[in-house]
Amino acid sequence: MNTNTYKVVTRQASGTLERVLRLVRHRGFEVNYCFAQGSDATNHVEKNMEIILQLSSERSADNLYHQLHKLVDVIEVRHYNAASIRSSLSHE
Amino acid sequence: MRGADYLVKTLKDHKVETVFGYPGGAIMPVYDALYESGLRHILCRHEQGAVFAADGYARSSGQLGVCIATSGPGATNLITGIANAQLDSVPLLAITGQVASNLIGTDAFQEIDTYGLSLSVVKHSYLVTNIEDLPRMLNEAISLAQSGRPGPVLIDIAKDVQMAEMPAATLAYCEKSSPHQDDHQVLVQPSEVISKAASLLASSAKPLVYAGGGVGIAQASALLKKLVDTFKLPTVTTLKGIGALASSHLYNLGMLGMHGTKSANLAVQECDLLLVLGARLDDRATGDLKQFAPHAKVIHIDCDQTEVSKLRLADVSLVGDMKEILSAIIETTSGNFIHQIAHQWRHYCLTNKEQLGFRYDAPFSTIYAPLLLQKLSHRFQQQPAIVACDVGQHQMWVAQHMQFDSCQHHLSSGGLGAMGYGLPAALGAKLANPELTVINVSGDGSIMMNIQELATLKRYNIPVKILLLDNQRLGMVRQWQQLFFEKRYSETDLSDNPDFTELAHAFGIQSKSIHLATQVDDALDDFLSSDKSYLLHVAIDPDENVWPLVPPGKSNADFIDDQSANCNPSSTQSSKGFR
Repeated sequence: MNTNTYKVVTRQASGTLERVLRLVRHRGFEVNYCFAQGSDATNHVEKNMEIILQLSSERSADNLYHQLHKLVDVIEVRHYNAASIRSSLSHE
Repeated sequence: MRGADYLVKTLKDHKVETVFGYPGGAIMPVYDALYESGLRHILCRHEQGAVFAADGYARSSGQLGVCIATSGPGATNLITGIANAQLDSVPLLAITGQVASNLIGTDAFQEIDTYGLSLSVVKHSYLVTNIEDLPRMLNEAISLAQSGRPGPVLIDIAKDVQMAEMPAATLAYCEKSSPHQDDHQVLVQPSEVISKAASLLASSAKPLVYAGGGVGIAQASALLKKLVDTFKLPTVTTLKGIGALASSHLYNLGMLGMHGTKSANLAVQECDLLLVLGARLDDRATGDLKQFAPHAKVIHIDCDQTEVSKLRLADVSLVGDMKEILSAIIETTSGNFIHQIAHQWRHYCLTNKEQLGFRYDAPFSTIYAPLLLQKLSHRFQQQPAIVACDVGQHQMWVAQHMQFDSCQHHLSSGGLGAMGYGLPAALGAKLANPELTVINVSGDGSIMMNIQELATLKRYNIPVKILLLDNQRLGMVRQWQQLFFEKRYSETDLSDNPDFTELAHAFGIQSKSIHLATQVDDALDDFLSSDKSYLLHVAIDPDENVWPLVPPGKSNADFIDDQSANCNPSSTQSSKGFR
């Protein structure tokens, strides 16, 4: 079982969080941790939402990355595995 | 202008000419706007018929298919058809009425959470509860359904939004902005990746093209032919890829997979390079994935990044516009390819194609369905026809024994495998292609799933031909029961079917029934010469099965074939390994 962390930035449309979590479940990932927060809207700027997910699965993390990215309301996906987090910490 | 009027106007602005649907309470303002709008609405007799008809319209024309239904049961009845469009990448707009926004969430009459229900079967979906959101969401929906990898988009519109006046300021703002496009998959290929693909192709001794439905969707068939002709590449197709390269093309080995041709499956198992074009390596095509194309490197070309390396790691992946990528590969590879290297390979593939082909020499007096379909196909060598299948044995026989020169002429529920697809899809295809003959090849199980659409054929005088292969069984399930469940024929006997000719007559449809091989030629003459809808009922042997068959979980090389049991035993076939 591999554990991976994703940061997903989405348009804050109704049901987007539901869409992301549905995809995660259906593609065979278990949610260990989930945090979601909407951004403050500024004039004429679309509201965004940031979702942090820690997921476990035997399935390919890269495939999930691409599937998340394919969702229409998703703006950005970042994928962190244990190695990338360690590397990031060692450079701080 | 009311929201409903805006909806109809926008569809017309996007060149939508025909929509399919069924009215009801929560969609009444839209039906009011349709009245005398000039937009052709086809009243199907079930929402599933409407969505499948829109699907057939879209697949056969490349245009957007549009279907409309009311809330609650109207929406739930659409779901199967929306899922069908999602799995087969069909550009579809599903419009549903929803209860008034102040009633959403109160369990109002005919209220269900259509948006929530849609999430797992759409490319994207919207719930419109504010008139000011309608222009953006509707235009986005229309754009998304057709851009990138096509797919179904659902827009669920609250009844009060349909009735609300559109603010002038909203219209003015929306007319200036362009709708959100699906640009996730539009990538520019670096030249080194193209070079790597070209190099793999040039150095391959046993290259094979694996063409899927994405070739037709990308309108890349001409480039596929150029690729195959230039490098003399043996080619196999998936079910949805049938027609991407003409069935009659020398290097087309036919469909691969569970009911694929022997020459196609043997070629896949032996090749050293698989050039996968617009295909997702579905389990029905690959068989046991661990044993699939075991010696091959893979070049995977697709517009959808999620399909590349999903099931089989690609050595080279090219994501983007297939026409651009194929052009670049052809250009880069030209001059480098050493034809001689692959000469033996081509000889092997073509010899297998010639020696391991289907047999049609059934000696019996009953009607042999594969031979009937081959004869039907021969009638369309000059002027192509569109064939819309249902799902089951007849679907595989069509894939095996009929010839196609365009993906748009072979309509089959590939991913979802939805029985009941064929008749409404044929109806939609005929409306999109009035100049072509459109045939629904169906089975006695499938036809009953949407039999009510005979009334739609009659109502609009849509001259669809229905070839009904009746074995009085759920044939494909029965075949599996025979082979893998010790002949325990659980709930697959349909011998109490209605009299299909009488049934057709009750709907005002011409019909005839045949059961002898000697009746086939004359019956096909009548069937095809009629200028009206016609149901030809063909009684076939319940024991007839689809061969070859790769048992579930087995390698494609492990096909079994009992076709000789139905054919003249004086000649035999054997498979040959590549030397």
